[in-house]
Amino acid sequence: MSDLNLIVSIIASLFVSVGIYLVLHRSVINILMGLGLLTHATNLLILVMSGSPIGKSAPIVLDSGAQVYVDPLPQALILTAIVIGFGVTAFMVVFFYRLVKENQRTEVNES
Amino acid sequence: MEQAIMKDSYILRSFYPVIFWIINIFALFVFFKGHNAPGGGFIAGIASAISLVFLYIIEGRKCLNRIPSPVSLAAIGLALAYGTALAPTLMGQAFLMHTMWHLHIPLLGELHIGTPALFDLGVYCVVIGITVSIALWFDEASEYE
Amino acid sequence: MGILIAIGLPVLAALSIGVFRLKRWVFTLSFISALGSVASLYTQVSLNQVYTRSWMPNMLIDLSFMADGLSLFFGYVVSVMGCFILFYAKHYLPKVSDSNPRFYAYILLFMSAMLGTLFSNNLLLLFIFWELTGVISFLLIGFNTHTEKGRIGSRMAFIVTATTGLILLVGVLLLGILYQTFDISLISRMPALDNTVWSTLAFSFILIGVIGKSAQFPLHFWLPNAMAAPTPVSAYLHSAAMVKLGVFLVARCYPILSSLDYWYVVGIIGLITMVVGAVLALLTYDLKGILAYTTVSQLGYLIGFYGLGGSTGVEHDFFHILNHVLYKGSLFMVAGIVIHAFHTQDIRKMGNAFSAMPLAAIACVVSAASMAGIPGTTGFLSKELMLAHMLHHPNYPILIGALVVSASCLVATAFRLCLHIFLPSKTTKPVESQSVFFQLPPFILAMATLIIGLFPKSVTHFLSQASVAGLHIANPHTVSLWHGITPELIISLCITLSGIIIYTVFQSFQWRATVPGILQLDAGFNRGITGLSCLSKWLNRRFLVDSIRAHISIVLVFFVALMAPLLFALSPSIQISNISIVYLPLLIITGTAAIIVSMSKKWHVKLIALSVVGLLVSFVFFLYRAPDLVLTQLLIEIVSLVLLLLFFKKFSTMKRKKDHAVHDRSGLSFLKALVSIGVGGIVFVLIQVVNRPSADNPIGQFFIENTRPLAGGSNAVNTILVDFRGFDTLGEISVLFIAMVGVMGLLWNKRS
Repeated sequence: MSDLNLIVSIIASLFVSVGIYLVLHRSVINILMGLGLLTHATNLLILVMSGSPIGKSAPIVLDSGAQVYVDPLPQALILTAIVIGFGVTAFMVVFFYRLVKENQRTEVNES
Repeated sequence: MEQAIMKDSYILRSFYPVIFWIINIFALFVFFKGHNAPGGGFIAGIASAISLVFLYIIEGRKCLNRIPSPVSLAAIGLALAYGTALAPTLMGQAFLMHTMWHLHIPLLGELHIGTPALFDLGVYCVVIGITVSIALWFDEASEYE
Repeated sequence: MGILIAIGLPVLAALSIGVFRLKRWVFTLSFISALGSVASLYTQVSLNQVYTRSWMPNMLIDLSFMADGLSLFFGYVVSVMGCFILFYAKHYLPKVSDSNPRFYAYILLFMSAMLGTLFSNNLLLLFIFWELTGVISFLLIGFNTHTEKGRIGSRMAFIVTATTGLILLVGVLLLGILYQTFDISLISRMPALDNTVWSTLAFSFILIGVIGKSAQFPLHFWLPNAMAAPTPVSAYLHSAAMVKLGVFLVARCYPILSSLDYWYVVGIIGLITMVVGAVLALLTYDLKGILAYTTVSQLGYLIGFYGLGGSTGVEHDFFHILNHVLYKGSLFMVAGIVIHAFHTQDIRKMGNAFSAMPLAAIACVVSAASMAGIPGTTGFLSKELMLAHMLHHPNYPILIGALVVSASCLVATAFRLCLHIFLPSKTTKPVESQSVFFQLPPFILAMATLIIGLFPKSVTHFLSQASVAGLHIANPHTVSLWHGITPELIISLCITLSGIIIYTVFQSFQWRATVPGILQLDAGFNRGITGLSCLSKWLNRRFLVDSIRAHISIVLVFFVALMAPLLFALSPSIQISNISIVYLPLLIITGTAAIIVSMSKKWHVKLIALSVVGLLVSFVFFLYRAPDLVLTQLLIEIVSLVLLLLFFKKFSTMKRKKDHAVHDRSGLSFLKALVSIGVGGIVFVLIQVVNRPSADNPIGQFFIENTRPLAGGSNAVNTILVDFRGFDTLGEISVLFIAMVGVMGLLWNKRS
């Protein structure tokens, strides 16, 4: 396992920890931010799966001879995931707005 | 009755038309080069959506009346994408089978026009449509109550 | 094509009844479509015709239909009986009722599902239709939704047949794996299965499916409970058609499975069911219950018959089935007429009905005689053939004994049916006379029993034409009314005599005996169902917490607790290299930003920190040579920021109550931190365990190599998105669209 992969996996696990910690809060703002961090974490996890990028080039295949490219599939998956993540964030924002409006509280009601 | 959010920012109001066109030219470039260089429908769509959202923030609701409503844009995009996906099945080919034509156009270089571009156009429209409409509705939400 | 017409016509009729909400002409439409189904079977379908259309070729499922002797015979039985039942139901159902069209539609759908099962040439297709019959049977048993008996009966029938159906699916899949195809016509041409563990497993799973569907012991209890259905349904589904599917499947699998060592289990189960059903028929007083138990007994008789068959095949099996269909259908229809007249199902309160329904009475006497095996009826011939078959079997004393016991009980039951319903009795008054058309269907069936019983050659000739290779022996014996004085005839005589003795004994006890507790499996089944719901209620009460956070925490704690030992076991294989200084700043900045997001009390600080995190993530994308991702991430960061700012703008102006002043207790906060650190740690180890360089070529190489030749673009990420995996992108933009619709719903839904 290369340096970069190790660092990124540490970052991703850190995001998971902080994201989970935030999601377990009552306040809607914290939950929203926690979900955002979890999205980042997941994207990074998929990225780590593509292996170490060192010494490889971006997956844009040009005529300039045989090169080693990074795996394009995780990138395509992450691109999809980012956009879907945005859709989810947008929905959650509106959902929490609605929730706060109904309850007149910024906290998720217990029970 | 409605007020643009950042109506009072003079700097933004003066410079925004220029910025708007820069963003959109960037989006166009990215859209067409997407098959061979970084870019594509998603990125171009988000870029254009950002330009429109900022336009709304600066100019208010009325500036968006000139373009088709975002919802219908999203619906058209979805229909376009599904249409390009389904069309080959009518001709007896596999679902989502693409065909291409190669063109040489000045400025943009070699260009591939084909059903992938149509499909990407669908994606582009959907992304713009939903981003702008969510931001718009969300900001106007209080008016519906 | 003829098969498709036969299957499709009833569906079309049923759909048009449902879609156009027809009120009138429903009966005519259904009857014509059923007749059309019979006619297309007769004119358009020839033997060994196969019709195939590709459906899911990758999973070896094709829309494939096949007509051979077996399926054609059963097909005729189902469709012709369907016509009789429809005609009968017209007179049975109330004249004016809103639910009548629904009834006809269900019956037609059932007929199609049955025909589909019979003519399927693909084992998985057969399974699909098999389960469809169960679903429609559920609807029909519970047709009288307002009665509790109907609800319980339909639930029981559905649970038993659907569960055993799923087990059957496992058997079918095993069979498909063993033969490398699900095509029945191909399989039947291949050699029979060898005795291996897998073939035995496949056989036993299929057998369980048969036991459930054909109500064999010990799952026979659902059939008497299914008698809550309207009587036409009982006559059709639960004697003539659906329960025969088990018999059909046994016959279908006979060529490939009968060589197995354990095939004799089929015979044992059949014979046990035969005896149990016949004895239980004596112990009940519900008219339809009696008939249900005799049906159970006869199904055991039919399945047992196949179970005793040798490796060369069987003979006259169609004759046995035809015999049962004719007399049992007729008896059920008579029962329906009687119940219609008496408004009760209790046979002890009946009597004196002859003058009200003479045709039905004659039908009843003839059919009961057939059930008892009196000479001149098909039942007699069937029993003689069965006895002859059994006498050639090495274990004949046991077999003959079982047959004598069950047949004697059936004789007693036959006497009871005829004498107790129609003879004058002091306690009951004569009932109103019933319409002639109502009595016609059972009468016709009974006459058929009589005619075929007297002139068997007329029918056996046709039946022998429908013989199937591997199932039937090449040159069957001829069936004739008089064989001379043979052992079979003497045993038959003994059966009749002992039946009469049993009848007189029970008569002297006034039929007071009831089903012993140990055999009331249905009560046990219901207790089990009630127990399950009690258990789940108890579990809910004990473990349900009305807090989302508590739910999440419980799930996460279990995640950590379950994953930790596993990962600990795998951890020695991890190699961790040294961290080079170059990337350390990245880690430090990202970590600080993430911790600020979690710790800060001010929302704008949080927001800035979150944006920093997003930018750093795009920097990581840059390090990983992913220009598309960098662009996307940056732009999405901007849009998200705008959205969140709009949110906070609204937030600050929104009127709201004071937030709870109480903060989480420090203990709880500590627990949260512990859980989240645990999950993060697990994720870290998980990555290290999973992410090892794979030796074989990864799929990414395929996209790199083919992005130019196949998709005509040099950006592999983009060609994956729009071309190679364009289907994912379609799904994605659909999800985005749905999110938009969701937002629309949330914002526009104002409560006035």
